[in-house]
Amino acid sequence: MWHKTFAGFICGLITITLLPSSLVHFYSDLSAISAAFFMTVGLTGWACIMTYCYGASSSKAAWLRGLYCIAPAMLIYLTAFFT
Amino acid sequence: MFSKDTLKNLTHAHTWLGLIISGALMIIFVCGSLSFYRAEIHQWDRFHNFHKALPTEQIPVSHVIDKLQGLGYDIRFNDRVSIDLPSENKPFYTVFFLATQDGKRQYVNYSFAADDGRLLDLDRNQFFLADMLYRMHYHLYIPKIGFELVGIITLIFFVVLLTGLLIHLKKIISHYYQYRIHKAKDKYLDGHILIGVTAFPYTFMYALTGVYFNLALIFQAGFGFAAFNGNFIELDKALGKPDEIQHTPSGLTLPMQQYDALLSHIKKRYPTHQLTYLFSYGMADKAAHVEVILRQPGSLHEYHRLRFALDDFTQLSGDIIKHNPALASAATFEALHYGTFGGDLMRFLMFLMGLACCYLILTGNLIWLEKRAKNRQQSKVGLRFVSAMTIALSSGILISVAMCFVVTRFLSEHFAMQNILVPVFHLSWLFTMLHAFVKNAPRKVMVQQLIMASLLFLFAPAYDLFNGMLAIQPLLLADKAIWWVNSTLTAMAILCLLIARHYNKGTTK
Repeated sequence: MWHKTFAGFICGLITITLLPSSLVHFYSDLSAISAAFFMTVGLTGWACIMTYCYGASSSKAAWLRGLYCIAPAMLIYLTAFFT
Repeated sequence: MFSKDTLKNLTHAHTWLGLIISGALMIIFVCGSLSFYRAEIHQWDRFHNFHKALPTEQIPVSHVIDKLQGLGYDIRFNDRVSIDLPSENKPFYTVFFLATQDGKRQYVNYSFAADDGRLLDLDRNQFFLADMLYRMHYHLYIPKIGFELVGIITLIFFVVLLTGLLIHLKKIISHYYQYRIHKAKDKYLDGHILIGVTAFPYTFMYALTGVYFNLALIFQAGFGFAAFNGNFIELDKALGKPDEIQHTPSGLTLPMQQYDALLSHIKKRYPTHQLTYLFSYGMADKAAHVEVILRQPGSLHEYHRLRFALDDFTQLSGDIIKHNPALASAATFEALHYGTFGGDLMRFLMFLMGLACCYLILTGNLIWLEKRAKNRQQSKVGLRFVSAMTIALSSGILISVAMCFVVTRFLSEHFAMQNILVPVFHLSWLFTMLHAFVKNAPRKVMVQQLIMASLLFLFAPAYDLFNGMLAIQPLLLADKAIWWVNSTLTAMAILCLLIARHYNKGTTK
């Protein structure tokens, strides 16, 4: 249970931080919208990712599910950051 | 829709997470529901022995600032002096400011009559019940880490809601209309599902807005680093926060009547808004700034903070319309969480939905306890302790809150409320835990404690009604705020009695 909690909490927080941040890096004019998006959709997304990790059958599977969420978010963020 | 394994894992998570956070969540919800009536509880507490009426002729705010200066405190130029303006609910001025007393910098408060400006003997700390309930709601009265802890508990509550929704998603409609009254176990589960599904839109909103309020610091820090490379000034701009205004004393003094002129200027400019608070930075200095809070009742964006220069009334910050999306989202979250936008009926509905969450916690815990009791491998002493703890943190919390109301109504003249209310709260639930441990019959104990809570909740309304009817204190019957609080206490008592009756039937069978 602890692993599932940490996997969901950490991976969820990183994912919901990186996605709106990518939007700011792509379009700096949208920073205010992106912050609003972060508050409303992002926080719900965080709880959803935690729920997704709790649905896993083992601790390892929970971390793997967390990584599934982080990986695309990280990829998008790195692309946005370096372009 | 989901595999059996996934559903099993989600049910497991729903049960355990719900159980772990149930105690703290019960405090958060009971105190939070009552905090919808925070202002009224203040009045209920404060005006028990105090006649109130908003005078038709009020002294201007400059008179109060004059009086304040006469008290001789050394107030620093950039320190804020807050003035809570008189209203129907609080017909006098209250002033708060930071001052040096006994070598320590601490907040001081004074109240002044609105008709002649005389100093009133109303120590804000004596009327502590509403503040205590509110603080219990948002930081459980745990110093330093309480605020963030409540945020994490709320996030877990959000997960419990989502897991509950997913578990029942396939049969959400058919199960909603199913209420099996002949089988005790099914009846509790059906009640849990029925109330859970009905209250879901509200519980979802409470969870989302609660996470935003209490964990804002964590995600703002993350967002600041990832999106703005650690430039927090840029982040504040994106979030629509006003720039910090630095100003230095000019050494020249303005007449105090400048405050009255500024307030009438604001009233002319925003005729549909109510002036609620005034914050002075610099008192009567020519460079002083004044911040005001305007209230627009019934609006989703109810409160607006504007800043003006005292000298020439130039508006320095704030806007009546929230153009910034982040600021507008935050204001909408606040309005939704506090339930102030829809009038008294909406607020009462929000209060009932808060109590619905308490019902979910009570039924959820009871289902778990009875299931656990059937597990023969469980250590008996361990189960007894966990069971006592769970009951104390569910029905015991209701007794604790009710005790605080009783103590406030009957002992406020003999004790300093700020010193005794928190110990009374904790001692009450410790006693309920002892009761549950000695009795060792979860359902029976819960029934007894709910009946006890219900009687305690009825004490103060019965006393007020009795006193009001005998014309000893007619105000207790005439005041709207006192009616609201006594009605909410009666509603809590009825809820406790109904749940007790519901469980008692199962016990006798």
